[in-house]
Amino acid sequence: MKISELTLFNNKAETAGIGLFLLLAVLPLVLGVLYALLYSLGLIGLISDGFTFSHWQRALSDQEFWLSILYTFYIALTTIAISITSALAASLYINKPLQKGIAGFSAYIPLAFPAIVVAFLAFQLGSQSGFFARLFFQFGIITDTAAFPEMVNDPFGIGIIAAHTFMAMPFFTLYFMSLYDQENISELSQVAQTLGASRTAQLRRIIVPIILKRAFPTLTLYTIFVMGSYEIPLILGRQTPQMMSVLVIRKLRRFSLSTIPEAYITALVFIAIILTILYLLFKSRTFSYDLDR
Amino acid sequence: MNLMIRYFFILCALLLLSCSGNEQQQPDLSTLGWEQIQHRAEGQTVNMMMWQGDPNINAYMQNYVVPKVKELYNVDLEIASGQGNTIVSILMSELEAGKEEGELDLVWINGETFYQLRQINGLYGPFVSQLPNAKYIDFDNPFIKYDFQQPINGYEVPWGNVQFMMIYDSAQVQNPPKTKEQLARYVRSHPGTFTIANDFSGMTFLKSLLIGIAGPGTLDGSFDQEKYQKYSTQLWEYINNIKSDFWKNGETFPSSVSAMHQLFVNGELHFTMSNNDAEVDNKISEGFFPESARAYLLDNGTIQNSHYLGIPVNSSQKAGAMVVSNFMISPEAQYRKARPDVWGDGTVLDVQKLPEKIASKFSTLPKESHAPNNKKMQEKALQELAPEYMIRLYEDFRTHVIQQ
Amino acid sequence: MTSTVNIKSFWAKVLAATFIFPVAYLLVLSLAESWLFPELFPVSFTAERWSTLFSTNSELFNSLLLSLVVAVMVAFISTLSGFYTSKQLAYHRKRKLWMRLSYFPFVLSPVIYAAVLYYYFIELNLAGNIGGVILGHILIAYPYSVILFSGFWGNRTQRIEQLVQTLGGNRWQTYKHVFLPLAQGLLLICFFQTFLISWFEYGLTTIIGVGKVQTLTLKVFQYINEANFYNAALASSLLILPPIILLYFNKKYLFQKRW
Repeated sequence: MKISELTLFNNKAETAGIGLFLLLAVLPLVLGVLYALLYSLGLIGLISDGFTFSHWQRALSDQEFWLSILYTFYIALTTIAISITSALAASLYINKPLQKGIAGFSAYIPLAFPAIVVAFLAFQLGSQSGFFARLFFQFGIITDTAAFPEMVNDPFGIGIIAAHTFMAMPFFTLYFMSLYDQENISELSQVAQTLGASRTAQLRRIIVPIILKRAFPTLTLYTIFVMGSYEIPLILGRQTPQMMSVLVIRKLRRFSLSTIPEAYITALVFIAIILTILYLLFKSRTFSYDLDR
Repeated sequence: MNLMIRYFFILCALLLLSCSGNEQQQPDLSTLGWEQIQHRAEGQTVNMMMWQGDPNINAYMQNYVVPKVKELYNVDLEIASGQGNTIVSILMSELEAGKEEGELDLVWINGETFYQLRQINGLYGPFVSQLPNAKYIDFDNPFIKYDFQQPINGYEVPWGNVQFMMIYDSAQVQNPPKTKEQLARYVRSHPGTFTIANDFSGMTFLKSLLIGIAGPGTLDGSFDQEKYQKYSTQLWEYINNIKSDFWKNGETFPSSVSAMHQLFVNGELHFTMSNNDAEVDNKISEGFFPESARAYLLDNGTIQNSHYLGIPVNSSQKAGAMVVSNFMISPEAQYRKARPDVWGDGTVLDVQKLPEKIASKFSTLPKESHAPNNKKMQEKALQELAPEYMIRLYEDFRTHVIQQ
Repeated sequence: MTSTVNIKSFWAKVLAATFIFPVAYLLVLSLAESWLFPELFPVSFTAERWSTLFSTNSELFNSLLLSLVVAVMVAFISTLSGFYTSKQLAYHRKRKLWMRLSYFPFVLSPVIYAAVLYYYFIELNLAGNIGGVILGHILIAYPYSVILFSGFWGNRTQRIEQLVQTLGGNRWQTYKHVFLPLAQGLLLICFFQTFLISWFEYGLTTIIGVGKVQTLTLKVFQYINEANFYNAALASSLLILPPIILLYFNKKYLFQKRW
């Protein structure tokens, strides 16, 4: 009896709540995809000549487009791999000094940096006349700027990866340390120790697997976040290949107006990739909502 | 499901509301006298979009034009950052959405932007002849009268006139290369010290080379696909031949001329370039360029062109935009803009038409001291080509050079 | 044993230096009169940039205020509406679907999201004005807020609500005396996190705001564009100082699993 009264009581509130949610979180995405789709098929737009697949054909046969997808994955996966490794090392090896004093405070500092400032900094420090190059120059390691290795606008995206790592690594370190406490990992490894497992075995068989398994959804979401980043590759990247978000905006704002549909196609493909990754993530068992967690 | 339907209707209502709102028609300004326009402009807020890649230009606008138009005409001028391609893209989206009152009221444009905006019917006009100060404009000068070979027809008002310059550091380089052969030799023997900015300055440089390859006058007139194909192939061949000795092995290019200046100042590059012949002087005087920096011309000549102000067709503050642009071509504003310590942008006014007092001020402007004199510049001035050449150069520089 | 402790604390110090150095670098650059290659340190300093910031009509100061207004509005609206809706969603039989859906806009690249939505913002007269930028930020911050609060609502809160109602309390009283105090910490975290989402946002702001709504991040970009690195450093300092101050008060406000 009580229950049904409750649902009845909640009905209006529920309508408002879920309505607001649909309006702000679901509808925009649907409308956005719809618009991009119509534009890419030539159904809307000032310069459109009616329904056509030609934009799709042109976009998909463009080598730059595929390179951009590969490059986006390369940057995101490399960043995440480096960040996870270094964060694991830091959170397991120097967790004690990292929990107190200046060091404890400092790990939080990168969280106060917006992406655009990190990009600016990476450029200032890493360019061939930047701070590090000056350091090398003053110590006589290099005699002119060209001798300093390229770290920004470089072919391998070193600057982009470094900037993202600067933001991701401390975040992962703090996250792993909190997981370590939450999951009572120290107790588990003590049990293992009494059973005769070496420290390496504990790390390999217990600690790292538990942390990574628990962190998997967060790590995946962070990967998606890096894939969609804009300011960092815009400032630190090259003109080609470009990450997808940069490519979309460039194609949208070219003098040759004919590439606008291709910009929307790139956007659609990006959205499709993200949706697929999220779908796979939700399907995996590591991701669930238990009411009583 | 019920919920969805209701929700859908709310949305439709919202859309309707936004469409049916403010439909108040602006009166036809072309029938009004200047005083009436000034009267309408009072209290308007004019949103101007312009390239903001130079601190001096930004300071001139922010510290001089903005307070002046407020003081004199009670117009609030607000400035947003955006280059030609962004302006075209914004206007295009607005026109697609059928937006009658756009976000932009005044735009700083020339050449290919003017062309694209005309293509999509994005510009308001003709309005130039209504501006009282337009009578001072030097419309006999072909470099002002034509914007990339296009007659302006009153759809944009000339604002400044400049010539492209190469800039080098005389402390490092004794004989700067003045022909494309010399340049190739220089690049080969000094790898990593030369590059081309991937923006309008770099494209203007390429255009000067293209004209040099094709020969004087060959490319004049409207866009010729065959000629373009022929000569641009040679241009790309030339660039790709020496590209491996460009800055960063020619695998990437600075995204803007300001980034290039920075590389020049830090010694990574021996050369930079500028669309503004006075830039070398004003950058030296502010201590940004070394005292030894010099501007010079290519033997084949460099491009001289003008830049303009246009009013978007869907601007809701056209009167205000007209009043602001009239102020910006006033003798005082033009004089101040021409001062090398302010901006050093060439005037579009015919000094002989001006009242004597202000005309004498123009004649006492300090002469450019680190750049070729006016006479030499005029001798080497090349006319702009049709805008399609610029658009193609942007596209093809990417596909034929950057992506190779 | 002591030597391992020493090595560990050495590495911790190296890491700490890596994280603190950028802040110092930005402050020094913002105070440098000129700092060119190959100088390792600026030759002379000037406080002029910082002092003009507080003079009348400073563009940068206006951007600071604008950023502050936008971020506070976004944080306030997102936190409250997220708190309210997350409850309805959490109790709903389709909660799993709702929660999953809320991740999409949150992780999607804001700049791409803005590109495909720009048309609608124009239609709704929301392009190029502060209202549109706030709405744009909310489209990202609100789903985050929903996700953050989803863990708060559960059987426990349901039982409490029933209890309060059995005792004759109405819905407003339930919120005022039970839920809001219970969620106080989380609400604050959410407020600051959504504040930062807005405070840090660049790509969406420049598209939806048509470059006219010049928040601090846009100013940084503009200064980078004109190769005016000293002012870029100043604007960057203004961006990072508030979060660092916040950090000083409570680390929790900054470190929250956002993904």
